[in-house]
Amino acid sequence: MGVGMSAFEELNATAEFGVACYQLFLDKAKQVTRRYNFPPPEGSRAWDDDAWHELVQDVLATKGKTLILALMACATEDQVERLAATAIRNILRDQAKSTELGKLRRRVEGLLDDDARFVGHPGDRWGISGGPRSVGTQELEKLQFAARRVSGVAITLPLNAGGPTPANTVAALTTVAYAVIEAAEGTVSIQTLTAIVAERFSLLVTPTSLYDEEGAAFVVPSERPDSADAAVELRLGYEVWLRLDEAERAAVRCLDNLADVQRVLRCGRREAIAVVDRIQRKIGEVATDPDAQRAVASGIVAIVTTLPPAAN
Amino acid sequence: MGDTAREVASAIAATRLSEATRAIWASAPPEPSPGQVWRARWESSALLVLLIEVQRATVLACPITSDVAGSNSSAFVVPETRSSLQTPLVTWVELRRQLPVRVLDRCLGEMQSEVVEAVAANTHDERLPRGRLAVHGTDPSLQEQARLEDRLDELAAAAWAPVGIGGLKDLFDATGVSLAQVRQLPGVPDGDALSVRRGDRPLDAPQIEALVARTGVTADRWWEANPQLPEALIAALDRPAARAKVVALAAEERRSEIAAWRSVAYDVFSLAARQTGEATEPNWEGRLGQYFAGRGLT
Repeated sequence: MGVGMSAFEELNATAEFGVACYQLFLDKAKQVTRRYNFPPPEGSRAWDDDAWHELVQDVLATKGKTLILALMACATEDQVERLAATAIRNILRDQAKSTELGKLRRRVEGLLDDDARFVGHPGDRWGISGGPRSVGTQELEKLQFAARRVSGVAITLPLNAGGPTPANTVAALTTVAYAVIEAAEGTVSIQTLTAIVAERFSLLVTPTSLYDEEGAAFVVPSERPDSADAAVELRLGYEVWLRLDEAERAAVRCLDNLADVQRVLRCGRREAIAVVDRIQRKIGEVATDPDAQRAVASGIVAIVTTLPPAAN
Repeated sequence: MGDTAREVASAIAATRLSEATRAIWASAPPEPSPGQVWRARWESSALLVLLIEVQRATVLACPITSDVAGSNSSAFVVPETRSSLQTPLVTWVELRRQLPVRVLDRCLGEMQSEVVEAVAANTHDERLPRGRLAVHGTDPSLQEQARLEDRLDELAAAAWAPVGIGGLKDLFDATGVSLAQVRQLPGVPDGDALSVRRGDRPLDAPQIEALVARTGVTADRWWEANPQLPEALIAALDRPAARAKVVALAAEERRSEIAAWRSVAYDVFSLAARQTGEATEPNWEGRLGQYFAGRGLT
């Protein structure tokens, strides 16, 4: 590990995550936590040197050899830097998700407990009253698919932190839970149910998606539309936007121009097509006819262009 | 060692590859053979690949990634016990592709022969589970797959040797470069100026640089006008061990690898043309060995 080497040079010379790589990850940890306004770890009031070190060490412990091999598969210094930033962002998101997932699990458990259609079984599993008591045998993909097929339900976002759950949200969460347990042909663990419900409604959004740089709550656009149609477009647009990942949010402004998508994502043609296809499928899940899809796409662009950069 | 230093060292240990992997990565690249895992790299594209078949100029390669969660059923998941890398590897069997041998950059290790056979046949092998099924078009693994295919396209098109269409004499005529001016080009011995002006001798990189400055015609156009490089010389320079030396020269001279490759090729070609004439095919490996030795690279 030579002094003054860049991370890329270090990897090429040694095949090791050495001092230069560690320093790069530490720099990226500082940049990413500031830029995306991720909350500091529990027990800390703000990000400091100890918290950044801990964050980088979490990345290394979690990713291990997967990370070093991905770094060695980079062709340029710039690619190494982008990979470092992505790894840091992903772990921050995972940490935020696991906190959010715990809260959601308690909420779903409470709703099922209050609903006579469901019955609890040993081992934190839930079944349908009068239904099979054995463990569901169907694959996770089938359960996810059943959850996605439930239509005509919506939840109020963001979920309220306390107090009673709004009626439409109760109906949405329990209807989806029912469909999932039915598809499982047996009982389903609360962890699996929670994860599927979260995915169905895109509830595991990182804090940055809902808060701006100063930490002020982002106003859901459906509260300030000009007309009834625009309200629907914006609401649906918002629902889709919540489900878009970072690459999709960057690409959504230029859906009609593949070359622009390639430029924005700094990727090849096939990857750009894959991202555009994924955005269109997500839009297709809330709007079926082409006119409505175009309107939702404009709604998303309206949201993206009004948000602070960090939220995208 | 302080607490922080100790924690850093311990965290880094989780990423450490075996000593054997680090040693092979840092040493001169071996001759390619089936079962090896390489980094294929060309300009800004790179990928890890498993070599399935090796021909003289091309290899049948299968892209590899390390993130098992990001795989799908287009790939086998090779368990950590089946490769010298000692970590699970996603082997994208459906994306196998012929690549030119010149893209092979660094060797990392190898996989067991049974794995190579299963990947070559693309058949079900219960010891090699497929990645999970991507049931939705929104599955992120499809983006990863598309990214790999983009990179394979770029690697498959990799070339450094100019497509020599010839016509050097015509280009000299068209740009008004006289015999006297050819004599002033760097590295043209007095006795060779006429051959160069007739287009019988190839130009090298410094000469082309001087001609670009004098005529305003692009370097690519001058390279194209050069006599075609012999296929055997291109093939000899395509070998990974020769490439490693070209990469070292490029870094030393702070120029692109492709420019360094062309420069080496035309230096060696020009010298051979002056020394042996056109009757005999020179021993290019031997000449390259001497050339690199002369530049301090052994």
